[in-house]
Amino acid sequence: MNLFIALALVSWLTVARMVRGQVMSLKNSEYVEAARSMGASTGRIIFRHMVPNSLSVIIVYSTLRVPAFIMQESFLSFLGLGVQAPYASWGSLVGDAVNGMTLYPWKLIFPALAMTIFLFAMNFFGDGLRDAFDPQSKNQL
Amino acid sequence: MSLKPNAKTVLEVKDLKTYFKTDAGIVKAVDGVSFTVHEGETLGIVGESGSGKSVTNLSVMRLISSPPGKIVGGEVLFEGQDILKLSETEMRSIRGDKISMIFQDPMTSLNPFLRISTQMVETIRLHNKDVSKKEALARSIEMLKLVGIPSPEKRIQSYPHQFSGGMRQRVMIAQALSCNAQVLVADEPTTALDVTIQAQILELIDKLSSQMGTAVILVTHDLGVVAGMCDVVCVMYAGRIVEKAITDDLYARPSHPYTEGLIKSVPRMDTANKNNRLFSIEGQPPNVIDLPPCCPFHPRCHKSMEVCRHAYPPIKDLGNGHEVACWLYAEEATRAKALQDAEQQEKV
Amino acid sequence: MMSEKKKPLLEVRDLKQHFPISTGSFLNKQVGAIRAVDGISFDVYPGETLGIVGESGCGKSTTVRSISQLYKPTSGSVIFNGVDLVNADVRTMLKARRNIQMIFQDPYASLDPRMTVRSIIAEPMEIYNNRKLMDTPMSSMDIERRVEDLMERVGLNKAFKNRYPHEFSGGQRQRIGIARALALNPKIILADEPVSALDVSIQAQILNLLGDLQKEFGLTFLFIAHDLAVIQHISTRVAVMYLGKIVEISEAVQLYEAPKHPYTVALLSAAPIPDPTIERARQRIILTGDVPSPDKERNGCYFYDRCPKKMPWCSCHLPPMFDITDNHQVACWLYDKKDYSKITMEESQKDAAVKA
Repeated sequence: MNLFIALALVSWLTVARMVRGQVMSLKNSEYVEAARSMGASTGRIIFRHMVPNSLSVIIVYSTLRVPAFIMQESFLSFLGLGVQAPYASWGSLVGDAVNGMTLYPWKLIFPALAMTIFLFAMNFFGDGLRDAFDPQSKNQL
Repeated sequence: MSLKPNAKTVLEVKDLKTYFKTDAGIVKAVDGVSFTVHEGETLGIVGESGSGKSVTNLSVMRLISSPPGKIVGGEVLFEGQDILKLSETEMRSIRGDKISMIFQDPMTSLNPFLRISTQMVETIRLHNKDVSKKEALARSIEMLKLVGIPSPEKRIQSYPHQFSGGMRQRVMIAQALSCNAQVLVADEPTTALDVTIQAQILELIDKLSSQMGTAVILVTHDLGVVAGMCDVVCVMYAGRIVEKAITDDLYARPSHPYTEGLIKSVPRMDTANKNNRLFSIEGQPPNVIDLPPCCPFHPRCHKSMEVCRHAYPPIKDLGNGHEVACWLYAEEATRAKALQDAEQQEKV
Repeated sequence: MMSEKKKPLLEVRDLKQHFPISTGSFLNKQVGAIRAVDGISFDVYPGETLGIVGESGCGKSTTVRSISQLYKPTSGSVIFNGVDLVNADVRTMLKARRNIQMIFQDPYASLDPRMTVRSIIAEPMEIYNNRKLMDTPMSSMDIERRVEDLMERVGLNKAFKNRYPHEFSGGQRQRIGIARALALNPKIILADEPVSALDVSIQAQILNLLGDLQKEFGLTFLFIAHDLAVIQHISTRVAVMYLGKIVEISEAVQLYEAPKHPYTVALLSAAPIPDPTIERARQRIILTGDVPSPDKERNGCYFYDRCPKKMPWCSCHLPPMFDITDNHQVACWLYDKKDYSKITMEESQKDAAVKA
């Protein structure tokens, strides 16, 4: 639990900055101007216009952050600061395996492989989510 | 603007075809384009978006990015050689030196990280290996003076972003002509400029081309620019030239319904056309993906006939260099035969 | 169609819109301002089309946005139908906005790419319905029907109402924007270069559509463009802007037949005409230099640097609007009753210093 809180406290900054960047660029789009000229309230502009248009970027970014979190957690566990026994994580498994690397290579290979496959999978998942959220990839007229 | 009767042919494009392979199908961006450019002449290529005019220009310069585009047919004869068959190295020695190009957005052809002096000197020395840096710099300053940049010796050391849009376009023209190119290919050079700046740039291109004898291929969508600058005009639609004529002839006697419609739908400043409707060509620009064999303009044509739906019209010569690709000018017999052939094809 | 005896629908007086230029990331000191609109005044009468024409940086787009209060004007007044917009409270402004709608230039950017066509056109109605500012509240059925009605009126197939903007061409998107602007039955439409991004053949369709809609609904247009021929075609009166100021304002036909301000003359002579015989015979007045940027305060005429007819007096005295006729005003010292051509630079500067 402490691990989650620690990682969250450190990582919200990048996400926040990304969201801010998105909002700042969208603020000046012509369709937001159009909405203002129609008398739309700020709330409506945010929820109806800005959120859906930033969503795809934020979601993709978030899914790509998952591998980064896993890496961070792995490093902490590798160093012994993360998950403690009897709980295991890929990082701690790799940490434990490094010592017996020459004698029992599979103890190292399997967690490393699992982690790699998972990271690739998250990447593709993020791509897929972005395509799903993007109305432009639907059929053209 | 000049039309000498026996001027030398500088560039000849024959049946050029450039296709793009996309997920949605094959886009026949340029589908059989032929024209000739003579020394000192300005040829205009007019068309709207999707007509293939920019791709034609890029194809002549062989600047089409190879996937997804490919020049699949035709010849481009320059100085007797088909430059489509040259190797990339040989082509590079022609680009910038014998055939130069200027673009709509001067920022794309000027490297924002290099000073103007660096870029211009590089261009000159690339094509003239035995010219020293000092000589190349002197020539560049001379070119800048020619295009009207004030204090060229000082300004040549500036970066592109320190110039205004009009000035940047002048620099691009100076760079393009620095090696005394024989052909200048201009792709919408003034579309992004204000009217008063546009007038300056067009006058400059006109002056330089008559001074240096350069042939100019001017691609634009603006019928006014064409009327003022070009000797010969080609009108493009959906990848093909639908009409070609001497400028005066084209405007006085537009033969293709598209040309006619285009000229009539442009609002005129000099006639008080108050509260009248403009002639408008109905419908949308064509979808050039997997175009069926027919005249691509027929859905929007106010004079279309049955045969237009089934076969592409032949090119008819109306005399004095005026050519048009329209069934209205083909003989009855040809039309009937084409219709018959098409019906046979469809039965199969 | 001059209706000078009628009361103007829109009155703009001495409108100024300055955007501060600040340096320093921490202290944000203001070092200057972009004087995008620098004191303009004009009236728009019901049923007419006032065209505003000028090159980039002249302030025409900013003018339109200042009028609709998308930017809060730095100073000056905007009175619409008797209501002062600059000092209006939120509720009054909302009520006024119902009658002032906008059409934008870029058909690709002015529609939210994540909203269906139906939602885009219905949005103004939904906003006003929710705030209970409609004359008669509309049910969702009413709104649906009106959306379909509007789509047909602008030439779109109502079957496409659940499609997204990217599925339409530029011209069709512009029609969607026009339908959206008509949704609340406005009195005036501010059109910011609505046809500049369109192909020539589509441009003609949209211009015809706007003309038809104007006749059918009795609309008033404030039409911005940089293409002189388009402005000529669609406007009843035309105002020419340069560097944030109006240099000439007149009835359309008069302006094109007998332009008075040296800038208007140069602008008209620079614009290409699609007729080779005319083009060959034309005497062009080519202005030297670039279109300057509006970031300096000037004491004299804003056009002084590039003017082919400048006099020393012009360099330090800002010209007011002089009347040529009832409907034709020019901001140029050449048209004052007094002759300034013989006054030297020294005398002019002394006079300006005294007046300051």
